[in-house]
Amino acid sequence: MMFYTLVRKDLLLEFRAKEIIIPMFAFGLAIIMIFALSFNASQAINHAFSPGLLWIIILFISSLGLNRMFVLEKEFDAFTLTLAAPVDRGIIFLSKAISGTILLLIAEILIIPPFIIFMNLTIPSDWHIMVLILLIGDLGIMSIGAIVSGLSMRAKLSEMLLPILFFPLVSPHIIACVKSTNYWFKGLSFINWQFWIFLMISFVLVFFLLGFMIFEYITEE
Amino acid sequence: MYTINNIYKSFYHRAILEDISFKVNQGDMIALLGKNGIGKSTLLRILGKISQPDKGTILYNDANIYKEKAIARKGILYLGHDVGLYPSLSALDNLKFACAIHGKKNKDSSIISTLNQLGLSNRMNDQIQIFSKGMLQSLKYALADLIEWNILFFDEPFSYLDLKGRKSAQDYIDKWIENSKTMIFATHDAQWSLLYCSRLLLLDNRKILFDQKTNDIDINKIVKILR
Repeated sequence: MMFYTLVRKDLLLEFRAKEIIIPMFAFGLAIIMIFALSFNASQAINHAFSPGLLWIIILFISSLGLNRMFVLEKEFDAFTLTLAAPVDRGIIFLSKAISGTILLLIAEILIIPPFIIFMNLTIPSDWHIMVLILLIGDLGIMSIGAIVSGLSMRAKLSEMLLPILFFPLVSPHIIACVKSTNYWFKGLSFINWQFWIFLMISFVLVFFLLGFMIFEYITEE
Repeated sequence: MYTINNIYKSFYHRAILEDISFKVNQGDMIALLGKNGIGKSTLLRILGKISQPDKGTILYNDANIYKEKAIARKGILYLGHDVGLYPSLSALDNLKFACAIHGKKNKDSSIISTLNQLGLSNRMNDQIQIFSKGMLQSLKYALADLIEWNILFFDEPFSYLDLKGRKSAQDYIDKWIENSKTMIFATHDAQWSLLYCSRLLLLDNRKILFDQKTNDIDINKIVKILR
């Protein structure tokens, strides 16, 4: 119940302020345009590089979204309202990771069609597997991101600290996302690349558990 | 009800609070006085579990608020010096959310009625980022009126309020006194503290200089220390 209230508040904040998805979309679109125009490559080369490019775009826009999500908590010292309430900090972490994932998925829904068009890609028919990869990938990114954002929130240079801590921590997970997307794109049977999916799931589980346990300590002054 | 034992707090290796200990009993209304930067707000943030003390324990109904589960803190309401509400949300949305996370489901009508008493019902759907500071301060009283609390920590209760706002605020405080509510206010208003509060706690030089019932205190003594 409390979890639902917190997620609803985060989504309502975005619905009212429109400060997260629109900048994520605009930034993502700008990177797609840069990639598409500067590479000017053949379809085969685009196919080979697109999984990596897609996850780089997702990584960049997620860091932008995470930053905004926590800035909205800092304005008017609003986060104290949640911190002072009788709510377990672990639940606050879970709500942040899940609402972040929902917002990132919405941004991806907006970004992936132009990515496919501008990179001139042909999508395999079993696209629902890619939805699963995106979902697990986003959960991993946002669980790591919520921990790092909570950690850097009270820091003076939080905008700088977030990418410095976030990118190295999330790299192994992003590599697994790129590998999974690449094998799916090549049409290989799942059995051949299930290791990468299990690695992604492991990341999600480890960081969700870690965040749930330590968010209490990282949010205190 | 609330027992504070040997609290220490420092920021960037500079001690702010040292060996702070006192007990709060049911129905106490305590004024926390002290010069600017002496640590009043820091102490309130520690009591409200926003800030972690370096040392010491805080017991609320015999439960250590820093070790027990969050539910052990039910009944504690912290209203800080800053607004503590979401600027992009409306007054109505903010109050609904605040009530929900404090475990109270208020109907819209009761929230609107409270906002009406404070003269804010005509602005209830506006994002609060366009509210004046006085209106934002009034919203804190609406919050305290709607949430069921046993102990209230309120930093600067009369900041930014005009005469009408101050009258409404005082009416709420009078109501809480009548209901024997327990409250701690961090304030600079020594006169108001002596008139309304039952106890006065004066912070000076990182420690509690004195903790006395207000009817035993001479205002001149306070003014002399605060100068």
